[in-house]
Amino acid sequence: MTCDRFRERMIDLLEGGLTGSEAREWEAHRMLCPACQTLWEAARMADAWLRAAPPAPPPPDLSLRVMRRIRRVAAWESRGAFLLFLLIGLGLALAWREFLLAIPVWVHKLYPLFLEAGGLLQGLSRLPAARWGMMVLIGLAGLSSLGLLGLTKAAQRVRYS
Amino acid sequence: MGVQGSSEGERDWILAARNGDLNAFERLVAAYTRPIYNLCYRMLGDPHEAEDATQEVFLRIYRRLHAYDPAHRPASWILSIAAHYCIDRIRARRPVLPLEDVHPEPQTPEEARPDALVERQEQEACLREALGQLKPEERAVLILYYWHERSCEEIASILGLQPGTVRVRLHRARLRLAELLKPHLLAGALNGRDRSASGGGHDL
Repeated sequence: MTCDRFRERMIDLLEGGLTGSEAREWEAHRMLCPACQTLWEAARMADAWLRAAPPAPPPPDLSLRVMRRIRRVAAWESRGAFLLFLLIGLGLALAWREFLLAIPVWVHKLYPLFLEAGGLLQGLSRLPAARWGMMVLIGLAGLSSLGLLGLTKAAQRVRYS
Repeated sequence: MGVQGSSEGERDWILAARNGDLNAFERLVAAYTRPIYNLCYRMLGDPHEAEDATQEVFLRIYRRLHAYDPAHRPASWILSIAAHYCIDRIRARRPVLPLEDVHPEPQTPEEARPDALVERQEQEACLREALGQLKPEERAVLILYYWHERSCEEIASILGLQPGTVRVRLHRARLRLAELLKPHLLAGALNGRDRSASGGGHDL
């Protein structure tokens, strides 16, 4: 048996996985080779040290500190982000207040146009073909909504499975 | 290690935490603080760094609750996040001093009769420094095997490796550790024989 082979099989012997003629060969090499004998002693003692080394105890308040941080993160995610976006929205509204305040004026100016358009649509809806067209459109809108809902639920099931 | 619930109980805690139940997450924290801290401490070698790492690991667990697959054991999933975090953290570090550059304080012959506590502390210090010389992947395998008592198959699942790869890394890690500790182990053995011959001290 060579020294390399001895090293390869050393850990197997440590775990009782070497038997028969290979174990005898290994033992014979150990008796003859001082370097391998020394390494074997070191491996045996290192294994004993590792098995005897206790787990390191954490500081007693570490769990509390961890949960405090998690609760802060959770609170931020549920409320803080919403407040931040609200503040950004208000900030933008203040910055563009002149434009926003002008919107009712535009709506007032466009109102007669909306009335005319509404009258036109009313006239069109009296046509027989228009009724069928509207029913088809409403039906398509309903089916699309149901389809989207189903896709969302399926995606959730896949995500959490 | 640590007071953990059954796998089923822990799975329920994770699923409840995923739905926003922070009390369930708190139970998970209480059960896994000790094992995660121990893994981080053995991987990183410093208690303060281990505390930071433990907090970061739990934060990662919290942020990845949605990604947990109930088919996997909770302990394997949690230890996987912790081990990968520690490996990444070690890789981002600067190299540590080689073992031969770190010397314990020299002692006078009168002080060279350590009692059991001092001897254990010396062993712990040598072990910590030797572990620091191993590659992060080999260190993780060794720690999961010895301190967390995981089988090679479980370690493979935790680290995302094949069981054969885990056995090879464990073998290499143990050989490398033996080589690193050889001078200290044999010096300690010689001291023990000397002390026994002189009628005092402890056998190693």
